[in-house]
Amino acid sequence: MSSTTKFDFTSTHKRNFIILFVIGMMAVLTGVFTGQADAQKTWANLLVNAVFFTGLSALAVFFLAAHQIAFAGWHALVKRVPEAMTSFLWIGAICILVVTGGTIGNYNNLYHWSDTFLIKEKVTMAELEAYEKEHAHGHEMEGDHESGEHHGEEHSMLSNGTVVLASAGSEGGESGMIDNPYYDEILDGKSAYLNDAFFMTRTIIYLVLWVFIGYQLRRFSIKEEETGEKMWFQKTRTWAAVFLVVWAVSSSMMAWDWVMSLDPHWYSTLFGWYNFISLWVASLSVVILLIIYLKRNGYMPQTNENHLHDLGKYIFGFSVFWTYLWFSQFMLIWYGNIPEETAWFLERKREYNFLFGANLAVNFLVPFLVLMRRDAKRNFTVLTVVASLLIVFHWVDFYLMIIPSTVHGAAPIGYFEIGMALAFAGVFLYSTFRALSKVSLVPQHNPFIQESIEHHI
Amino acid sequence: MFVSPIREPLIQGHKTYAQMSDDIIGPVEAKPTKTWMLAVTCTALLAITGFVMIGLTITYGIGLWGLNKTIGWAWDITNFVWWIGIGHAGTLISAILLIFRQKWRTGVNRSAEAMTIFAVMCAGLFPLIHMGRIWLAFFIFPYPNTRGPVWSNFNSPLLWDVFAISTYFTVSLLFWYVGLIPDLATVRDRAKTAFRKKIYNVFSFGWTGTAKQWQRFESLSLVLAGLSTPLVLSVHTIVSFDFATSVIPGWHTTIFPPYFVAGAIFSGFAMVLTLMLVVRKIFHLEDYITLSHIESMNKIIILTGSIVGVAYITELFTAWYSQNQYEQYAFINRSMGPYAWSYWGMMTCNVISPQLFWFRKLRRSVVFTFFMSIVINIGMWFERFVIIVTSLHRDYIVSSWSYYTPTYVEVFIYLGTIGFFMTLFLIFAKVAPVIALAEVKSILKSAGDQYIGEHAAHAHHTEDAGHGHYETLIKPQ
Amino acid sequence: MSGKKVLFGLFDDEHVLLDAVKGVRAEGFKITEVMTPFPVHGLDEAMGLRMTKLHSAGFLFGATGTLTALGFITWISTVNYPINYGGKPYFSLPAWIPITFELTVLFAAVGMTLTYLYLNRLAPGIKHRILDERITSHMFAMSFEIDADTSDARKAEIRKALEANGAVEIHEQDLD
Repeated sequence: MSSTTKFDFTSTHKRNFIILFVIGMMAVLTGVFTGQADAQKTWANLLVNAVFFTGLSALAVFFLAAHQIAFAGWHALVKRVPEAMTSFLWIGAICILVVTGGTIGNYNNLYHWSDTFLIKEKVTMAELEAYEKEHAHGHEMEGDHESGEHHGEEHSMLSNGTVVLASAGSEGGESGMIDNPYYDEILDGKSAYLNDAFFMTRTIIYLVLWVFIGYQLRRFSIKEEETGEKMWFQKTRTWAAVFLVVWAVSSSMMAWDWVMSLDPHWYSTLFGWYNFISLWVASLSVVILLIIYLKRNGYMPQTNENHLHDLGKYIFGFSVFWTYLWFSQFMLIWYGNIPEETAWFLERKREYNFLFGANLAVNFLVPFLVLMRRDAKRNFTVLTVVASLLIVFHWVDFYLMIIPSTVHGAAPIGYFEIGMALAFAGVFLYSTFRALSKVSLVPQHNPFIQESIEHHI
Repeated sequence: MFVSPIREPLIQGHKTYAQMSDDIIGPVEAKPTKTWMLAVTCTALLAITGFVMIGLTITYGIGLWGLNKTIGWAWDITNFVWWIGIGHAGTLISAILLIFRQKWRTGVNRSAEAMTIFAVMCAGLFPLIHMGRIWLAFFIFPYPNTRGPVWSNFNSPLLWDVFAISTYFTVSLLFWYVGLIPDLATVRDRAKTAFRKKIYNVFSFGWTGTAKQWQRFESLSLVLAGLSTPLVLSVHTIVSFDFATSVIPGWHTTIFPPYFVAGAIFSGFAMVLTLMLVVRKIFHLEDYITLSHIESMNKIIILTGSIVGVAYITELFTAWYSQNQYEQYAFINRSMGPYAWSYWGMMTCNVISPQLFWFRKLRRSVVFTFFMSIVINIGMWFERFVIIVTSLHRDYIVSSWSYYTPTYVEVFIYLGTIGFFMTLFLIFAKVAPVIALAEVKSILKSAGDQYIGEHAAHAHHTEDAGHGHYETLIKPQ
Repeated sequence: MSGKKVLFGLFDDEHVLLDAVKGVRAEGFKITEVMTPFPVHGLDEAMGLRMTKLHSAGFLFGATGTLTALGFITWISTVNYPINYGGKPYFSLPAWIPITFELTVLFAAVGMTLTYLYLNRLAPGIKHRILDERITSHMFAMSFEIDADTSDARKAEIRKALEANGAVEIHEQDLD
């Protein structure tokens, strides 16, 4: 076994990533100060990137766990890369906590169900007045068009800032309690699940479990490298199995909580798995790009076309699988044609028609047509182009799931949105490269390392 | 090629290529045993009974079944979905596991593919006999006609099914037979009599095994695997569309496609295990279908069983979360209505019991695995019954609520298909090698116990002297 | 046909065979055919065989299937006999994806398999010469075409090369 080189995290790398972050932040700040992005938009974009980048990192843990459990021999040479990607997980977790906590603490209005006024059947006149005053002057109320489908009149009036006291007042009665015109029966029904305390508890549980297990897997791997003891391999197996069980439940729930509940009236049982696979393709693409980068800079000499061929097959196969899930969800809702369900897609088609089509076209056609050939999967340039496109367009996928539910009206991707993503990318890359430099890029004592070195397809 | 010392051998008994031919083709050449004759007689009788009942159904119409106005689909479609699902494991083993380079698949893929074909044949019977006028079955195909021409409805999931099932059957047959050709050539070349040689030459298409033939063989196998992988997904997906495109609560849900596929593979693996554990015993193939194979299959059972479990919970949760009273009622009725027994049967068999395979001892226990394979098959039958009958029997108008019980005709048609399936499988196992001989030979050097594992004659991995240590790690007991 | 003969060596291990193929070719002999009981990894490269183009044929068949399905359904549903099904547009693309997909797979699989059988000269009832009955079971054969005119010296050379490269048996057969 030859190469034990560590990655050299040079000051140039650091500078570049910091510059990336600074440029991104400048774009964000420009957006905020020029009013191009209001508070709602800023929070919403923060959510897009928090979910996406945390997802990239969480799926790196999944990569490690799944291959460990499947006794995959070939991946030993590349496993340092996803291991390093897990180092961002705690930062992403903080970002998620900031955004979700922002709703709970009423700093933002992303999660419309968090407004407890909507689930009160009866309110006092004073409460109603205060509520309307706040919403008439304050930021635009979230999800209003959404409930509008069920409570059309009240809400359309609310969006115009008109007061609806007239109708509400008549039932006043002696108790001073009147029917809440904003009462949302559906949200009330869901409030046992969608409420601040339970929501935050769940969020914290997923994040803590992911961060913890991700940390453990990385730690065992480093221990294995340092001590050469075989016990770490077995420990990794145990924790990998634990992660897969945790993931089976938390992957769907995180998608329901963080993304689907932005449209609290809408539901789709496939939503969780769809989110999972979207992130999985993006995360695999990041792994590919990082490996190619390292190889181009002279690292990982033993990792060759054969390993990238396998990763290329992954993004080919899982892109097709992603398309399958996209189609299943879309077609069934289109075919059933139930207004509560179609509203979600209609909104995206109405304001984001181009992105909606581009999302499907790029994420399916590009990997499908380009990576079908064996040679393409073994060509680093082709892989770089496809993987980059997939990362961008799976980010767009999340943009399309989150933004139309939070920022109403068209919100095309401009310098602000790109800037925010770049800032996140800067931090993600900084953290990942830093982690890469901590331990030998070749896990010498992994029992599969020789298989991986001799891997030939 | 290097093989990590922690991997378990997949071929036991220090086999040579010649011995492998003897072991695997031996049963094909031997005279049928009494056990085999007895078994075929029993299963054939069962099949005949089923066909008599099908004859009755065709003669008198489906009024002989327990269907009524509210419950128009019941055992027939349940059986259809169940059989199609069982078929999926064969394609999974031969295609998806080929793509994922799982060597252990070579021990079981041949039988699993055969099982696929027979299962699809059984499945296909049900929609045909449900039509009532089976002689008009050709109406489902789009062909130019004098009625307009009125074509079949391309927007109908039932027509998609026609295409999906017939494509699936054709492609599975090709895949299976292409793989079988070289092995049949081996049977031919070992044959003692001229007649036998002639017969097997016809069926082996004159295979000789030249380098170019093998090169094309491998290319074709890989592409067929690549095609079969999305195909197998599409088949059960389209079966799920039969339900999910409707707006019936309990049927209209977006998770159906992947969840049906996972369930199909789950039940299919259970059936593969049922068959292979018997085949292994009868034909003495313990060296080729090892505990390691059984363990790998049981791991897939945990995986798919858990996916199915997560899907059940997702459906249940979303029904509540939807705050749609019809959705909610559909699930309340499933779990507490008159068919609650089937719901809880399904939950126990499919979600709870496979979790027992987390224990390594149980995963490697032949008896327990056999028992579980039956349990899972029952559970997956319940699942389809729950989805179909429970969702239908209480529709929107309370006056049309109903309860369905099968008639003896339906019961015997179902049992008949099991007999039919078993008969076909037994005949197959007698006339063709039940293990993909050429493929198993190709992994001998990387999976035979004289080359790898603790009994390896020579360790060609000198660097890792401590490989015995791995063994104790992986096998804790 | 008269006079055509084949000289072949039998090997009992695929690794020996692989080395032999490389060795014999390096010595300048032209191997007519190599026959094995199972696919041997790396044999085609060792023999210098071209990669098969079979999969390209598969792609073309598949594309034909896609176009056939889409074209046919579109023509029927929008031109030949448009019917309103459940308020969906005549051109209901999402509803046609399943059949389009199935026909793509069907055409690709059937077309490719037939091409494969044709290229490999395989069909029910075809009889090819079997050099040795153990080749489909546990022996690996390397054959050389010779004829009645081939000198004994040449044959001896081939035999020597085969022996030197590990053949366990060497036979000569007439090809009529």
